[in-house]
Amino acid sequence: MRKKAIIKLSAILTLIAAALVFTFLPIDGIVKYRGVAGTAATRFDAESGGGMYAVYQARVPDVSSRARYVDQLNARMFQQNITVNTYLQNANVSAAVFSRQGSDRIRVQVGITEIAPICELMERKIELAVLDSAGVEVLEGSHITNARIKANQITQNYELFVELDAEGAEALAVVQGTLSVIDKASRDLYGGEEGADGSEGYGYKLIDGLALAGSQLTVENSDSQKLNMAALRIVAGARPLELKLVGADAVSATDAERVAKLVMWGTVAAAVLVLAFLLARYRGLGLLAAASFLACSVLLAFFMAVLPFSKLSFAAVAAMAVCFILNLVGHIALFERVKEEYALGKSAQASIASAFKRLLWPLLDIHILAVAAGAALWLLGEGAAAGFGTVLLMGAALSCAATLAFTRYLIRLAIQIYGDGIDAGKLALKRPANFKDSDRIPDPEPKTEKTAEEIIAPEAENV
Amino acid sequence: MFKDLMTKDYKPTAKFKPFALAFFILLAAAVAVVAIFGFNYDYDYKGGYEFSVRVGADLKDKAVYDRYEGEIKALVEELRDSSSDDDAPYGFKVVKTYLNAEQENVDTIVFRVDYTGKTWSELAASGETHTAVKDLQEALKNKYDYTGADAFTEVKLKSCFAPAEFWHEFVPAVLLVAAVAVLSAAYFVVRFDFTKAFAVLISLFGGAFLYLALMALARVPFGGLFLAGLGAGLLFGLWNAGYILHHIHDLEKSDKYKNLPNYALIDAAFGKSLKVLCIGFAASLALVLTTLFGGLSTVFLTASLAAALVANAFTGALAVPGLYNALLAAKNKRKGRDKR
Repeated sequence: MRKKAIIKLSAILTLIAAALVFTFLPIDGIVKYRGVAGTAATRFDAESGGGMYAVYQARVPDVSSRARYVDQLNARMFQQNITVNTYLQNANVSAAVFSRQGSDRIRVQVGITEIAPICELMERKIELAVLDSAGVEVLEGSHITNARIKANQITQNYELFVELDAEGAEALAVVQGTLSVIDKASRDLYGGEEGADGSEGYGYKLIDGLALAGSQLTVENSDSQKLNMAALRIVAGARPLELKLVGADAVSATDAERVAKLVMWGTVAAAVLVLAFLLARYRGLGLLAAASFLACSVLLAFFMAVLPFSKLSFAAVAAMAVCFILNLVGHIALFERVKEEYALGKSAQASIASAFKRLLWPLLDIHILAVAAGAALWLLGEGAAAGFGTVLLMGAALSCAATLAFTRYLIRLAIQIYGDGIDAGKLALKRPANFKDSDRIPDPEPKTEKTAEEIIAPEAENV
Repeated sequence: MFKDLMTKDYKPTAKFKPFALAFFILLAAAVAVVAIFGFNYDYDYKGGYEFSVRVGADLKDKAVYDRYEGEIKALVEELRDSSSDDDAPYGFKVVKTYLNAEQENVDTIVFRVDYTGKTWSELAASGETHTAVKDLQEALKNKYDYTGADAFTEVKLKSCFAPAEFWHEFVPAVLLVAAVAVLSAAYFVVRFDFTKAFAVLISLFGGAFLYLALMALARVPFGGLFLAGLGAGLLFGLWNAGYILHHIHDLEKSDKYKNLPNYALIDAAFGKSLKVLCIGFAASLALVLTTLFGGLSTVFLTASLAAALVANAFTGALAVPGLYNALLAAKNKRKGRDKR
């Protein structure tokens, strides 16, 4: 038992050390992976890693009518966001950052220096057409005036309304069956059944009669997110805005080196500091916690380097710091509790078990909230908020696993190694000065498995 | 001494009235600080000019870089001071210089110039921008006498619609963080009860205001780090408040404490939590300071995280017991009145 525990503990510590080297040091010639220190594996955002930005201005008839085009421009930005990011994802580059500038401008920032393909995608207009079930164009997209979704309380479904002008409504009045809204150039389906080529469809049908009478096509789907996207894409293509490039420039890459250095040296310094503090205050327990902290940091750095949606920026570094702090305060809370329990008279093992049991929920709470906050910021936020959210999501999940599971497992292995003779002094555990032997609290009886008779007996009584 | 401080009975609920007064005065002061000093919007939000100067020397050599950086700064300051019109000084200020590292031979120094503290829309409206910038461009050309086409690149205009970025990017992000705070409080309603969750919510918003005031005072540039600090502060506040509330929750169930009056129970829970929160705060602050290892340029990151820690330690750990006690007292009073 003891031998096995020693082997397991040594193997874990060796793995952590190997991961540390693998993550932070470039290993040219052996593997392609260059570690966090090498920019090959780490995706920096454009502010940090360099790239290009371009500003587009929408051509609107006159200044006074700009406000009317705000929704149109938002929809167009949404559509371009999907198109450009799909392109970048395929090229394994970090996602583009879109922002609105004033009422008529869109700014796009990408982490690549070749802006031409992005410009091409940005300038491509979407021209919609409405097709009948035979694939024949029955209506031009220019007759669509708006698209929006609404919850139907009766069917408990979401419905997409595509509003048409009078001419469009008249043309559709005679059409029967399922309709599709499609981009003429790319043949992207913005509605209708799934395409024969496997393109995404939303599985909805035209409800004729009532809906058409109101100059609206009505479609139904329980997936509101997909419908919302379809609505925005339809709006973006209904009245194609012409976007004119008004400025494009390089974004300096100088921050990348700074951020990489910060991450590397900051993590090393944090690890040394944490190790020193935990060793000084909690000795043996601190050593195991430091190993757990190190494993958490290394894994976080590794995931940041290899996961495609993670980008390194100052906001990401801030989120890393938050995760380290969560991990550290979690361990502090646990070990202070161990000390308290031991001072009450419990044995070292019982104190450790009790501390983990009592602090399970406080620690779970903060980690659940951190993971949820990270997910919300990642999914709903943009730019810095999304960058912060991504790292927080990964870091909080890792910190939770490290504090509540990995540290506990390491402590269990250590107890197996030292057995009953575990020296409380090595764990920085002290009894109060006036402690008497009679104050000792006996360990709770270990749970033993019930014998077959014990299991059967109560049931037999009930019968 | 540390032991004495940690074991002392502080009775936060007994001192709640002066404490609450101080809390709300501090919040009012925080709002006033933000209103009076405003945030340091910096180049990215206020706008400014970016110049690139190819100096024809290897700027990787720090001594060379420092020399050119010093020269350019001096030139900008000289121009600013030489303005003949006292009523309309140029007001130039170099806010950032860095290398253009996109080329193999790093010989281009890029610097950003802040201009008179006005926003770009104000400058565009007054039309004064171009004269001042052209003068600076001219001065740079005279200083670095290059004739090649790419020796002195065009003056670049950036972030000229900064207020739009603010409304379209920053405000939604802040609202998102606020929504996360509200949802976190909702989580506490499920875990504990409404009164505890409400105390947490008040403390979180208090922490956010204090954080913003500290950021305004420290003149940390507005931008992504603001948001990161806000998010970090939210989690620090949740940890502090959640830890105390867990102790209160445990004591409310324990035989020894459950018959005690609310204030005594809350004071006891505060006493039990204090040591862990203090050690956690000190260790966290030390950990935050390690971000300075990225060089002095990361000082704003350190400042944001430290401000978030300090603001939320105050509101999360110190204000929650008192707030919870006051809310509980108000609730009991209302119940008593209803019974009558």
